[in-house]
Amino acid sequence: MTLWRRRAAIPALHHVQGNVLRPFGYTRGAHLFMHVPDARAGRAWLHQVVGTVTDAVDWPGAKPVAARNVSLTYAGLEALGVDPRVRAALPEAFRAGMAGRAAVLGDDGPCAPERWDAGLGTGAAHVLVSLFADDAPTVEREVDDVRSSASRWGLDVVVDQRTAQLLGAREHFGFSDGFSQPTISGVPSMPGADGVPDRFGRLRPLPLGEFVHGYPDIDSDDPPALPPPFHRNGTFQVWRKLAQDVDAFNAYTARHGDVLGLPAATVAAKMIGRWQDGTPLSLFPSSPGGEEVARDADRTNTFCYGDDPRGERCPLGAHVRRANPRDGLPFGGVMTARHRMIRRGMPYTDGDDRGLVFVAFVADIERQFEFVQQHWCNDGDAFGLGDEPDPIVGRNARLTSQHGKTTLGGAPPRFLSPLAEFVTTRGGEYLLLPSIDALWALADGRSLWRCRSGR
Amino acid sequence: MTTRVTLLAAVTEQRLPSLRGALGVLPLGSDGPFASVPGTHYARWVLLTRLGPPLLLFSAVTDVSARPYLQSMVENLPPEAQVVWEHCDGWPHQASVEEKTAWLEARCYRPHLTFATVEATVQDIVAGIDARRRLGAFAAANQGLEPAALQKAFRAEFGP
Repeated sequence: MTLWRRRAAIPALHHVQGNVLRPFGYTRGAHLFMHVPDARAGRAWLHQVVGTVTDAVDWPGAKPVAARNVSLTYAGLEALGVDPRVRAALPEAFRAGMAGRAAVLGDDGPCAPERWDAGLGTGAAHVLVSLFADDAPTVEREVDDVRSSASRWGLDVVVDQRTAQLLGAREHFGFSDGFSQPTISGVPSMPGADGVPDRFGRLRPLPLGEFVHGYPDIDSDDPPALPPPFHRNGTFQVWRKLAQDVDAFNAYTARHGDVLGLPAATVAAKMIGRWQDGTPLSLFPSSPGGEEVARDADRTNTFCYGDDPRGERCPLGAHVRRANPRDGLPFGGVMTARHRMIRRGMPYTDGDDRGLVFVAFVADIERQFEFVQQHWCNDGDAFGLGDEPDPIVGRNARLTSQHGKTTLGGAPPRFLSPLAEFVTTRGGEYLLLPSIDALWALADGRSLWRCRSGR
Repeated sequence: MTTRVTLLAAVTEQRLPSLRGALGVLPLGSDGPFASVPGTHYARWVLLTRLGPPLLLFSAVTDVSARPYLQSMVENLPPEAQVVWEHCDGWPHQASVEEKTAWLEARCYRPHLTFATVEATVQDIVAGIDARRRLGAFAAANQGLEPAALQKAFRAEFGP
């Protein structure tokens, strides 16, 4: 395996959109999905907006009051009049969209696309403008600005989803979130980021091409390219709205805690793989690591599973162990390395409706996001757990069967059974987050062939 | 114990769109057409269009040897899957089961690598999965019992 021999590529930060390689770090967001009435209007609107999109260049001083991303669904590329040959050369999963891949993702029953929020998964969402700031008035000003320009060119806002960090950067079940971001070769590492364990247990960065198109990836120094103008400095964005039933989760952990003679917090931690303060069960199997450790992003994220093959410290089927098995699968970290994601999700709270807007950036939707959901979260075979699903986000027939269970480990092992559904997919889209210059090319309506010599 | 079946059949360019359509509507998983062909561990069709003239690749891992498997396939594949073979050049539409089997067998190749090596029959594997599920359900339902009570419950469920 030549994974570790890939030469480090340097990203062209002024072409890559911000928030991909390094998080913006704002505490509030708004996601506006818009419908483009016709190609001419869409390009005119885009021409007006591209200049406001935030790139990935480091901010020299204080961060700006707000930042923006623009991304497009497959239907959006069609609506903007992108050459059919270009569209046909884009990956199948992206072309199908998240709703079209419901069978792969296990989105059925209450998660089926027919039950999604209006505007998602129907082909009506063409363009996504994501706005970020640290206070509500600024977000509102940004939203008004985007709505105003959209209105001028006849674009309809079909989804307006707000997000905001909860106190302590926790998600609605009460757990600290956002750990375990991949370190990327050629990109300064963030605190708490991790790479992929090599056979010596060292954490190594992932190649840039795993997350940004046009650079060496895990498989090749010259991976197959997307068609111009999307061949370089763009990425795919997975946008997924996940509702969380907090009351049901709390009741479930309390009830099963009583049965097993464990505190509810311990049951919840075993389902997640971390304590609520974020400290991992792999390092602190009996009780949370404490405030000092929890504040140290590197300490809470520097651990492996290879020395816990039976899941005695962290259950084999715990959510974070499934989503990033580190060296917990055969051949060290090699099998994990091909399925990492950059995550930029943020909680949403719409009255009693609470949950997470999950956002991931990947170079390959199918190999990265869909693989993790399908094979590691919806099934347990890779971990020796048969068809046990992830107790938090897994979906399969066993989840709702009376025999569904999660193995907590121990000797003798303990189980949570039956399982319950705490997380419901409320909608989602696959988007292409193009480079800044690809956005300009789209806005200009430049032809496929003139873009071929693009940067 | 298992047999690998691999065959290649030519397809004319004009029939490719129709063949793609026929393949595209076939259900997957346990509803897939090969669920009705006994002894199938794994089977798939792959359309090869970039290596020269288009070819339909069929590969399978089966409990029985190639000829009886191919015959069983001709006999048991549902009509919407039989249509796939009808797109191949020279497919004997009006022929008997034996003649169609011979046509398929004539296009078989001996593979040197296999997708999966399985040392058990489909029946054994299904029984193993069922036993695993029963054991898992038993373990979950009886956790916390004292050893003697656990043993008694185990014997009641699985026999002495």
